[in-house]
Amino acid sequence: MATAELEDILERHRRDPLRLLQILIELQARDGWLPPATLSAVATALGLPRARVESTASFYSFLHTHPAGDYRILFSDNITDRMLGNMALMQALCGKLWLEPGKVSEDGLVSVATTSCTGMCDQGPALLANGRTITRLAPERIDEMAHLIRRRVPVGDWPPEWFHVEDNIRRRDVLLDHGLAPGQALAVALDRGATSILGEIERSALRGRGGAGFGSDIKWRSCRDAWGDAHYVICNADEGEPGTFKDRVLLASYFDLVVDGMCIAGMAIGANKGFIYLRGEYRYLLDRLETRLAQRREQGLLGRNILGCGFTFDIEIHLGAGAYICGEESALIESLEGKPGKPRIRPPFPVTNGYRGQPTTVNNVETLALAALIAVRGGEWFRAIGTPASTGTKLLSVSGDVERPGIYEFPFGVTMAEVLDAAGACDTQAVTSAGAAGHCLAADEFGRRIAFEDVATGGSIMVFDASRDMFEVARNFAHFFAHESCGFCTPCRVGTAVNARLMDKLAADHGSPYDLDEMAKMHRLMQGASHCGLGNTATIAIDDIVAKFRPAFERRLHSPEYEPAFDLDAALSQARRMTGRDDPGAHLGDNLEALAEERAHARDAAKPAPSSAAESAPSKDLQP
Amino acid sequence: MAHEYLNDTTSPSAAATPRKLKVATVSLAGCFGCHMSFLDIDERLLPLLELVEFDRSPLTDIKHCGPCDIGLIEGGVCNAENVHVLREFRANCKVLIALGACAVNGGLPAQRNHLALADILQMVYRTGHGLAEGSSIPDDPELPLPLNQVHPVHEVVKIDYFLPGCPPSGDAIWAFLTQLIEGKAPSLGHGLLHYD
Amino acid sequence: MNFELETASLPSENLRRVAIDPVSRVEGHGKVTILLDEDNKVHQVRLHIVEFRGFERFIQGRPYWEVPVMVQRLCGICPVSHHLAASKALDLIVGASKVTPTADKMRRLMHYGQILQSHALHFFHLSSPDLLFGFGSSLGFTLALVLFAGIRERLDGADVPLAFKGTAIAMITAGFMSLAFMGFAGLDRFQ
Repeated sequence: MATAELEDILERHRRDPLRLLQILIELQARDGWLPPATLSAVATALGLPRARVESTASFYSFLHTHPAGDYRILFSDNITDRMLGNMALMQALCGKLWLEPGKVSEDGLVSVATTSCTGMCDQGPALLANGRTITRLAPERIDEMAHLIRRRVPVGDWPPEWFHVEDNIRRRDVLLDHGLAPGQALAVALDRGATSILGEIERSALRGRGGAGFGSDIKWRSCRDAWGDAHYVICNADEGEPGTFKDRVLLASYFDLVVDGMCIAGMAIGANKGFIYLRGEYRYLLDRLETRLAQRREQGLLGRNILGCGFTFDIEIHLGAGAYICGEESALIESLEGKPGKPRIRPPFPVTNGYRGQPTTVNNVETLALAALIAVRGGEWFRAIGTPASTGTKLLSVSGDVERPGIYEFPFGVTMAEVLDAAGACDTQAVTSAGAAGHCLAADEFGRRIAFEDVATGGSIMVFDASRDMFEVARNFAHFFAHESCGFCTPCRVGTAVNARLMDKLAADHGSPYDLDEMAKMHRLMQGASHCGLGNTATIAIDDIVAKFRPAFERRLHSPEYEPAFDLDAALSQARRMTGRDDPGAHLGDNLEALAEERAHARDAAKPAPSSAAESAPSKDLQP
Repeated sequence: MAHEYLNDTTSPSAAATPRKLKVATVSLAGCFGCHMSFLDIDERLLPLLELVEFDRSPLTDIKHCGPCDIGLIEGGVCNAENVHVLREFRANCKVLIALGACAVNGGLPAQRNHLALADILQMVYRTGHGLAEGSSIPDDPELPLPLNQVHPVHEVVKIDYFLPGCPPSGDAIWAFLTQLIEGKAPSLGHGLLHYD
Repeated sequence: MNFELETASLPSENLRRVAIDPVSRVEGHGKVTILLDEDNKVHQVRLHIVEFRGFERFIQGRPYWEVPVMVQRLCGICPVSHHLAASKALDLIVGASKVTPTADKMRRLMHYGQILQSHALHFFHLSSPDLLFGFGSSLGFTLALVLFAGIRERLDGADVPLAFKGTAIAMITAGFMSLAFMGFAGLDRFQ
């Protein structure tokens, strides 16, 4: 890249080391990858060690430190995409382009690979072409895409309808039918003042919508009371949970309410600055959101002296780059500071030591939108909706085997059966209650209620009918977590990888009951020993699926005896080739035979009962 | 559970003078650090030796493992010999324990897994610096062939318990073994369980 | 792997093969094969290093500061030596032609500690069983431990500076003791 262009990008980001990730994302978008020279130039310009720049560049899966082709095609690989046939489509595209998945074509033109759920489960299968979302893939689209790539047509000139993303709102309640004008909620809040708003939030008993359900009033109050040079509001729009896409819809069609919510939160905690951390997969929303923020500044709804009330609050949008872990609030803050998204050691919690070490409140998109609604309608009104412990409504992202996938807003307390009924599910075998990281319900549990006190959810409802193989669902989840573990703590880094390998072992028909026991042990270990929520929740769904759909696993246990995870003799292939050996010693026999042989050997050895180790040993040394 | 196997071995008549448990240890693709850490239990080896006797171990000169109660495996599986030794241990030991990071997940030697074995051999024996004229990849039939990748031991045989750490501390090994010998399922608390 | 194998370049019909496999009490995996004739005359002895790990290749491309910690895992018996060797290599890489006196002293201290510890280990755990009780015995092992335990008990009562308490002083003492016991090695010749 020309130095002038690089200078331009650096200048626009004020050479701020905290904006490192944003700089790298821009460079990646321009060049298609981040060459070593670029990383060095960025390091020098920002006054950072090269290692710092490299660690960020190599952490995020949408940043490439090796050439990845002019066209980088990433198929969304959530289980819902799989159920819609994404693998066949990927193979088809690879076939037409003469390349292998995961590798760059020899001419450096194109690479095709998979990525974690892109949040298009209601209109999949989906993919990202150079970071731009394409939905509703079908064989014809794949044919044409291969054609366009070979003719080197820029992604921006591909048929516009490919990039169309539907909202698919199927059921509206108080939030999706709010009927408020942009800024209306903010005006009411500014009029009432911070204390009054905090009171309303407390009366509403609003709990965080990300899934953990922490009380918003407690979070806001502790942040407000924490000492600091500045306070910050962060809107967590990094919805990475497989199967969830509600934030996509809120940002696309209810953005003003979200921004009002952020401004209200800012006023309540005494912040003048907010960030929206937008997941890289939703890059297509960025320009639209930036434009709307600019309009709001002009309308006096954002920036200096909002609505003439003397309150100043501005918002910056930061992009993520394909890391599920950044949905964890302290990892998100790390990422916002330009570093790899690895969760911090807590305490201290972000409400006292967050962004730049200052008091920071991190809220889900939906939580902020609801806060805006509460500011207008009042806490008591909100509390009357839902159940006593789970007030208000919840947006549910429903996908999988249903007639009408999309967004459903239901008051808390609704049963799973009602949700399934509304979505047109039939012959349902299983449902995830909170994506890959939450419990998986079987048919006899569909009477349970969606609420923090029963089935807690972040909103990801993936539905599987009786035709689906639940083993493949669990395997997909295991691979998802193995890919998304940040690598910071060993239980999660190794545990997720072990689980993925055990699943592959079962899939390759090498499974035994031992492997299922191992997964159960790993579940207990990771729940207790992982550093953050990712590790703690990574095995919940898998453990549930193994317990509730055991026949799907037992079908794959071909041997009551333990079996090795790989073909031992084949594992010597490279060494045989390199040494030119083919003698009996250059081969390894079947494990079961060998084991039987060893056992017989052991029995024989046991018979003469060696009188003492000292005597028996030398004779063993000297083999004739 | 493994500790039940151990209890099986103590017949009612022998209860008054419990038979010494037999312990075998081996280092596969490890560095011996876990064995060193095991020796770090120092003088506690004495009470331990009242309860157990050693079969095959790098500390004794017994070359083949006989029927044992407890087998401790250090190191992952990197070549054909490791596979044979590991199978011998599995066939002979009632309880098999993966001791240390390499046995549990391949450890540092598994760093070679992202490289092709052929390229590594080529570099080390043919194209690397400081090699003698005409160096070639050793092909003597006495030598076991390396596997394409380094594997954790549980991918080759069934493992009953895992004791992580690089190495696990002497205290951890002591606590683990004493619990096992007492017939309990070993469980280490936060102070003893670590992964680095 | 071939357990019973004849690989001498010499005609092998009348030769007997003795294999010491594995060689114990060393780090690294080795075996020795000996070919003897009917009169027990040795025709060939070979030491086989049976393990290949590829450290020299897979440390390439790693961040340089990781390498000293990685190469420690070459050998758990003498990790310090490998650590220091890698540190010296890094000195060259980062252009530290002369290290500070403090660094030099710390390195020496580490190395001497390793030597002491290694001697104690060698004596108590690795060679005393052979010296005192011959092949295959774990009794020697026990005796050495008894001696060592005795020393530790005495040390508990001694007035040792805080920094050297515990394992440190035990290892130092053990090191001295093992140096003295090295004399036993000579006894062999008079047998």
